[in-house]
Order: sequence, then C-alpha cells, then structure tokens
Amino acid sequence: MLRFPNPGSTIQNFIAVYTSAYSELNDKVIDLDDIVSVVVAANLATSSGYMGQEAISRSTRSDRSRDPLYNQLKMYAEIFRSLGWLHPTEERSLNYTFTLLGKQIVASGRYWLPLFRESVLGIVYPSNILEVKGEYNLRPFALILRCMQRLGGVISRDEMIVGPLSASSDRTENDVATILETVHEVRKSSTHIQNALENLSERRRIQINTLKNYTRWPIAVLRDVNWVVDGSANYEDGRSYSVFKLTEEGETIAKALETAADIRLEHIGSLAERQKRAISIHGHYSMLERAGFDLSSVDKLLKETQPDLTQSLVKLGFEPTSRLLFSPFQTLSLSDINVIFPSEELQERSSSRSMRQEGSVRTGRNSRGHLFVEPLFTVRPKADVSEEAEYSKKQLVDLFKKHGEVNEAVAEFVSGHRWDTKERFYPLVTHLFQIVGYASENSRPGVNYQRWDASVVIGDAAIPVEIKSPTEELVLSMKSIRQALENKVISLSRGGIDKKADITSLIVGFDLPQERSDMANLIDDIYKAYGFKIGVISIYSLATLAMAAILKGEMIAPKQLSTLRGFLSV
Amino acid sequence: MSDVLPHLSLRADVRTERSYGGKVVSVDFGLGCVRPNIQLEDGRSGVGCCLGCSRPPCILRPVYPEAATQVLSEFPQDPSSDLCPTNCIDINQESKLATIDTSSCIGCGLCVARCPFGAIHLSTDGKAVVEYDDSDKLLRAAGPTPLPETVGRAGVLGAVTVASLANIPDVMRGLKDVQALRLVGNAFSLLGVDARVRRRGDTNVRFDGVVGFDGRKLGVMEIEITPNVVESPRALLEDVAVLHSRYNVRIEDIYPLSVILSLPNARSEYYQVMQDIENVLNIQCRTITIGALLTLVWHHGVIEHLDGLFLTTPGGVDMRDSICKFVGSLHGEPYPGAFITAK
Repeated sequence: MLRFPNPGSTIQNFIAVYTSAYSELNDKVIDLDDIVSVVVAANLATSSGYMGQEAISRSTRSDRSRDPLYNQLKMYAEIFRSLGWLHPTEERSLNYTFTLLGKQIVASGRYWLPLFRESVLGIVYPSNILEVKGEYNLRPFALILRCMQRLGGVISRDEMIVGPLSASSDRTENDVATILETVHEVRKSSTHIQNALENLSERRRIQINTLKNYTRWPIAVLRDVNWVVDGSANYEDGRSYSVFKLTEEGETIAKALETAADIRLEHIGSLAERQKRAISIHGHYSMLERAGFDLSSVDKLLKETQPDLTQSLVKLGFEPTSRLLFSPFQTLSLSDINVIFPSEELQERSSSRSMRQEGSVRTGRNSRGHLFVEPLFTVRPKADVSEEAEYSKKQLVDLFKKHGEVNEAVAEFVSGHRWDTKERFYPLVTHLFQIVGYASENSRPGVNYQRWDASVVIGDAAIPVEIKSPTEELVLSMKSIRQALENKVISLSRGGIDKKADITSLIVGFDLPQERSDMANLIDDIYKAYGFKIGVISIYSLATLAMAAILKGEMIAPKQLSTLRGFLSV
Repeated sequence: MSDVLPHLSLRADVRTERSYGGKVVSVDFGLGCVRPNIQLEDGRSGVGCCLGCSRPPCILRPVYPEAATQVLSEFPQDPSSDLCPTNCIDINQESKLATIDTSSCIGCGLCVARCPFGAIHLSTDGKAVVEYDDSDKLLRAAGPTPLPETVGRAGVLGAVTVASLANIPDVMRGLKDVQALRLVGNAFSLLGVDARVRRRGDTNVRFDGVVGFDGRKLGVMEIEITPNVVESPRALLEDVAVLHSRYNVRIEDIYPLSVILSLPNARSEYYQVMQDIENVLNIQCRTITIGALLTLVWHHGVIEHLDGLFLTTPGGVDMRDSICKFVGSLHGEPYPGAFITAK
C-alpha cells in the first residue's frame, strides 16, 4: 500500500511552511535543520505546548529520531519532494534545493490552490526523483478520482485502502477494473470491508490503524482542495456508512482525467531528446496555465516546441490536443531537469543554520522529577467505611487471595471497571478513598457551589476532587487540569469546602497519558502563576493505596495527600 | 534561464488605469447601506468606485510588522493573508476589479470597512456590494491612485439592526472553526489592535488568539461560538497561567478576553465563575460578543486598551456603555444577547 506521511497539518499551513522556507533560503542548498529554524522563526511550528525559540529548545534531542520538530519537517520534506517542490541534491539525499515548480507555488501567493491541485495530480510512480517502497506504476490521486467517478461518485476511507491505494498499477483498463471489482466486493456489508482490511493487514504485516494513518494526508488533500466532501452511502445489505463524495469540481476533474494524455516515465524513455524536452516544457507550462499564470513570456518557447510536442503525442498514441498530464519536476531526474529548465548556480550551503547548531540551544526539557511523587505511609487509624465501600474492599481482598500478589490483583480490579460510566465510577472513587482511610463523598447534583465531583476530608480541610470515568475519558486530558483549577478557585471563592490556598485540588482518572510532559508543564504553570497545587491520581494508584490500607493498615500521609502537586506514583 | 512566471491575479500591473487623480481624504458611509461618499484632497467629492488595487486592502488583512511583545511575535498564527473569513472576495481576471461571491458573503462588513476608496458598501439584505460605476465622474485618466496611509472614516456601515448583523448567530453557526477565528482576528485588526489568532490544527498553543495593545498590555482570547461558554472562564485561567509562567508576562498586564457569539442567560455559571476568579485572584475577565465586535468595526472604532471596558459582572454583562465609548449612541441590539444579558 502507498504510504503517505502525515505531517499533521493543514494544507494551508503546509504551503506557508514552504513559502517561509523559500523566502529565507532561496537559491541555497538546505537541510532539515534550516527548514526547522525558518518555520519556527515564521511562527509556523510549535512543540510541547511552546512556541518560538522555546519550541526548538524543547524539541531538540541529541537522538534526532526522537526530535519531534525534526521528524515533522522530515515528513514535510518528503511531501514537498512528492509534489516536485524540493529536489534532493545529487550529493546527499537530505540536502535539498527549491525547484522551479516550487517557486511557482510561492509566486502564486494567495492563489496557490490551483497549482497545488496540479502538483497533487502530478504525483506519479515510478519517478526518477523519488523512490517509494514497493513496485508501483500509478498516478495515485488521479486514480482515486477516476475510481470514485466510476464507483457512483463515492469512496470510503477503507475502500480507498483496499482499492486504489493498494493497487500496484493503473496502466491498463484491466488494472482499473480489478480495483473497481475489489471495491464493489467490499460494498456488500461492513463485514466484507472489515475482512478485506484484516486480510490486507495480515498480508502486508501492517496494523489496520497504521493503514488508516497512511490515508490521513490524501484525505486531507482531497477535502482541502474541494474535490470531495463528507457524505454517506449504503452497503448492499442496506446499512449506511461514511464516505467521501465527489464535489462538482472533483467530478469535472475526474472526467477530464479519463481523456488526458497521461505521460509516464516509460513513455519518456521512448522519446528522442528534443521530444522529451518539448513534452516537459509543455507539461510544466500547461500546469501553470491551468493554475492561472501568465504565460506570455514563454509564448515563443511554447510555439517553437509545439511541433515536437505534437509528434511525441502522436508517437505515444495520444490525441495531440489532449490535456497534458505530465509534471517533469515530479518525474524526471535532476540531470534532465537541469538541462531542460536551466537555473542559476546555487550557493553551496545555507548560512542561516545557526539556531540548531550544537550548543546554540538548550536541548531537552525541564526536569519534572518533582512532579512524580511516591507516597509516604503512616498508620491508618481505625475508621468505618460505608456499606458500598465494604463491597469494593471485599472485591480487593478476594482478588488478592486469587492472585497472591498486589499488582496483579489491582490490575484485575481496575480492568473490571474499564467500562464504568460516571454513575458507577464516581462512587467507586469515594469508596476507595474511604478504604484508604479518608472520609469522602460525592457532590450532590444541582448544588451550585459544589462544581467538583467529590471531596476528601483531611483534617479540617475538604479537598475538591475532579473525577473522569473511563467512559468519559479513558486517559486523563488537559481539560481535567483546567477543571481542577476552576474547582480550586470556586472552593476558595464560594466556600462550602476548604478555604486554604495551599491545599491541593485533586483529579482522579482511569489512566494517565503516556506522555505527561504537557500536563506536568501546566501543573507547574498553575503553581507558578497562582500558587495552586494540582494533584493527579490514577484509579490504579488509588486502588493500590486501598490495598495497602487493607493488607498493611497503612495510609498515605495526610500532609502529603492534602498538598499533593503532580502525579502520585505508586 | 527558466524564469518564474507571474500569476495573472498578482501581476505588478494588475492595477487598472482607473484613478481618482488625487488623494482620498475621507470616506463617509452616512447612515449605512448606501454607496459611501468620498472626499478628495483637491476638493472633489462623490460616490466611490473600485480602482482595482494591486494589493487590494479589501482582500488582504492588515499586517502589523512590528509586534509589541515576544508572545505576539512568536504566536503561531493563521497563515492566511485573507481578510474575508469566507474568502468570498477576489479580483476578477478580466476586469481586474474586486468581485464578491454573494453566495458565500456573510455581510460582516470587514471588506467594506477596510476599502480606502469607498468602493464597497453593504446592501440592506446583508451582502457586500462592489461599485464599479463612476456615477459622479471622479475617475481621471492620470496614473493610479496611491493607497492612502490614513483615510478619515465617518458614518456607519449599517444600522445595528440591519439584516447581516441580526443574522450573525445563524451565519456563525455555519462557519468553520478557522473562519470564525479569522473573523474575530481580522475584526480586531480593523479596530487598530495587533491581533493574531491560532492556525487550524495547532494543539500546542492552547489559547485561540492574542491581541496586543499599547503599553505592552496583552489580551488573551478564548473564542467560543457555540452556546457552551462555561468552558471559557476556566480556559482563560489556564491561558493566564501559561502566559505568566512560560513567557514572563505579568498577570496584571494580561486581559483575559472571552469572545462569544451571544451572552448566556443571567443564571449561567459563566458569570459566577468569572466573579470567583476576580474574588480569588483579582483577575478581571472581559467578555465581548461577535455582535459587539462587528458593531465597533461598523462604526470605525479604534481600541487602545481594555481598561474598564467589557467587564463581566455578577449576573450578567451590559456592554452598551463600553460600545458607546467608541460609537456614540446605540439603538437596540442586533440579536438577543449581543450586548446585554437576557434576564
């Protein structure tokens, strides 16, 4: 299957990145670090919740494969290459130069869309400019549009995966018919398409989610250039499913593609040099003409080369007046391009790469060790728990007896609550706090000053607790931090609970995100700005504390829990 | 040598021969929804018409080259240079004059307010109209009219009750997130404020926009066009913390600004939470609706600061005094909740 990288951005931002890079680095040989520096300077890149120079600093890692900005720009560069806007130099594949086609994109200003469309249709495999994994002989976006046109004007993401994006060739009517047949087959029912995806996944040894990820960029393109809109269709069994539907513009272009003179690398190989030059010149400038550029300055050149173009098209079996579908900057080798479209000598290296040179930026991120807090235990005083809490306690005891090991018992306890709604999960949290040794209750719905979901009483203070059940948020989000902050402000303003600024505001969720840097930074930001502490506890940690109370008669120290800032790590 | 070709819509000579033959001093919109009257330096006056500018102000948003603060200069803003939130104004390839796609025009008036030649007005049915007809014979054969640095503007683009402002709630609901943000950012820019709204898809910077005022004051915006505005106060709290902690902006130099479509009713927690924030942290959050923002644009307001303006008070907001500081007097509001909290 064709693998398009997904730089995770809008097409407009994508154009802006290229334009900024070109504005600063035109006529130079550049590398990825140059592009990173320029896009950050143009406020087009952010990282880990930071912008500007701080974004570079936060992103930079000594191991470049883990540097988010560098990796993102690598994906951008790959797509720029596919579009024919950047060419690798002959010396090093990660050194690039801007192409004439790319310069035209910059010159189109706010009218970039038509030439972007042309460049998208210009993507073709094989080419002498970009190697892709696997054997392909197709023009992917043109193929998607042509297939859609013949499939009732619609295609779903999954159909795209098993159909045109998994095809190896679009060269013959037979090739296209086979793709259409595959899609027709999976339109019988959702089971058919699911099976087809699973088979493909197994055959290619690629997870289904990864297959889906490869479609993100093509789908973003199809939508953003207004060739498709979201719609719905029905399987043969009558059930509906989401599809992309050709727009009027999409349909017009799909029809035009059917009769276009679609020139491939294999055609070029059969032409004489003069003919190759003519077809390249006309291919490039016909793209510009359709995109609204003024061709008057190349009028003479086009007239001079017209006879050779006509000869070549006839030789290749196309109508001489056909729409020419050939983008030389996306097909031909660098040496061919340099002969046909001569350009000025380039400066050897960009001189604007100071930002990322070793030692010029602080690498890595702030230490967040202070936000990962291990519990300190104290003796749990005898305290009654509610009848409902007794039930959870018994569950924990039984699971410990079953496994004979705390971690496994807690893991099973937690997985048993994976599908809890808030009606079950919120009380569970208060029951666990009770088992740990602290009075805790849920807020009553509709009580205005109780915006938090529960409270935990520690000494003479009651701490607000924001809870997220797994069916609300399987993994805690940044939103929960906001809510805990708001809980703190409301509790201090309206009373009814703690009135001490240094008492924490707690969040309990099913699971914590793998990457906790953004959350940790925000917890630090809030402390620095307002002096408020936000404490985060997963249900696994809370259940482990409850187990410690049951098995050892220990509880987390009141002072530590009431002033928790960061993540409780058990 | 292969040269880069110019785009037909951006050629340097795109400016037509249309010229007033003199500098425009002022544009008067009268009571609105009529062709504006222009006053030329040489004493001539009459209704304006499109001159076909080479870098048309009616199409391109204002750019503030010198950002006042680090946050403004580094903010990852929407890369679009378009003024129109729905991108419905363009240059006609044949006539080289501005043309409007009325099917997507939302009647916000941004292009009308920005044209320095009085060539665009709002129709009573809420669409921008470009005038081509030189009915007062102001055009001269001499060279192109330079873009004036400043033009006096008088009158109003339309009454606050005119169709397009009244329809704003419906219109906004049909806009994409990026279009709504662009509308707000560009409206602030026309009010003389360096405004930057976030680009679509950037999840690293959590606030929706920043606005810079004189004296290093910084507004941080949460823009919410759905009725779910109770999220905005807590989001603003977070924004202030981030600006202070990561970018060393003093808390007292930040205006937390909630930009919403319409004010929620008086019982909404929105007001109470803003009051809580003020009680506990002494931070005053501001609220401005899209209706109020466009009303200011329609009256050519210039905002220099937000001190004492657009404050959120317990149990509701009444923006009329704040708006009147810029526009004189008001009669009615364009839609319920545009200026005053419904009791």
